[in-house]
Amino acid sequence: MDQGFAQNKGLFKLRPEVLGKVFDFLEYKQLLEFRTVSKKADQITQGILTHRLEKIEKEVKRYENLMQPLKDEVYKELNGELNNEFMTRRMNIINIVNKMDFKSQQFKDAFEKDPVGIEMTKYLKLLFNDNYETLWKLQVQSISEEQFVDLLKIQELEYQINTAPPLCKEMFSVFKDIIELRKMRFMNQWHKQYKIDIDSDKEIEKQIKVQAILARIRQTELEKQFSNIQI
Amino acid sequence: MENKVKLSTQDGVIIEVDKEVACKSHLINTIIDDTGSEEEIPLPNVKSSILNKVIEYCNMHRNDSPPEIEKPLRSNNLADCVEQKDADFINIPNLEELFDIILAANYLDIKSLLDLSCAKVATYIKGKTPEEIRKTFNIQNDLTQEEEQQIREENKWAEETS
Repeated sequence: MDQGFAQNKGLFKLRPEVLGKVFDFLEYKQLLEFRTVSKKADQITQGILTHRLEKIEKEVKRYENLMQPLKDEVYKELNGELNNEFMTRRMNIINIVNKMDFKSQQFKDAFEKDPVGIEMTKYLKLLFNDNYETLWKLQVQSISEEQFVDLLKIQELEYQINTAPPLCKEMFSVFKDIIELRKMRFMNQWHKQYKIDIDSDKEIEKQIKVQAILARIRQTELEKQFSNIQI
Repeated sequence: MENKVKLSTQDGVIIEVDKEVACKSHLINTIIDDTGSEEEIPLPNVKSSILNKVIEYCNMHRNDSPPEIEKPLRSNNLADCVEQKDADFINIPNLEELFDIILAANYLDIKSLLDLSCAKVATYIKGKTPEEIRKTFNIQNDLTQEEEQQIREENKWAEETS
């Protein structure tokens, strides 16, 4: 076999950024294993990893740029006068939740820890899963997530509340306060930012992986050079 | 004539093709937007045999855009991941031709064809041992045992730390 042909043509006529697209369809482990095919394969793999890292860094930067104005807006509102309504509603929720003496501490803990990061569906599930049997006689489980956002739909339940036990009325009030909280513009901005942050975290995770292997390769290279000097 | 465009290839062949089909390539689309479709469009990086294959693909998807291919591939059989007609199209026994299609798709900026051809190459690598990969792509192993072991150590470390 003509080794020159094999090492510079065939699969290797694809530049790292193009061959990288092939490896985009494969697991990361398979890319690392490709290094052991030949010297050229190792060299190309390092090129693919470097190119991948550059792409990931650009993507992380893009996410940061998308998030920053949202963060600025949210934090500005949280520190300023507009915070009052948020604080009042938050206190209302906490007071009622405390009064209700929930079996589980989960809701209180989650809300206290991260009131701005309130995830409606998650917390409402905690609220109602814990208390549905004893407190909530209405068919709240049939209310969809979209309806949660639509306060009007929820308000349609108000007439049924009149005949419900007192704790149900308080639960309904919590419900409305959470929805109002969610409807505030800065909360929506926060949620937008939060969703971007989740995607950004995935990229950062990939970035760490690629940086780790490139750093290890560099370290081995340096160790080799150092041992050569010693000899 | 307005609906046709002439493409001149690396080997000097002129291929006339429907503008709508040619414009599946972002490169050609941009050139037509900039300079119009009267002039011959030179494609010095693409051989006529490969361009014909690319045109066949663009014709096949004249009225649709293929869906994104799932990453990573869930199977070595491309027909499990893409439409049958695409799997049949890219089932090219000659690897050199397949690489040329990748290069042409990349140059002509046809993302769906680039993805399809790259996915095809990926099926030759997925789940294979280094020795099987060497055999498939005719690659000589020029690593010493020590070098290979060193790479394996680095990989192991990377997998453990990530």
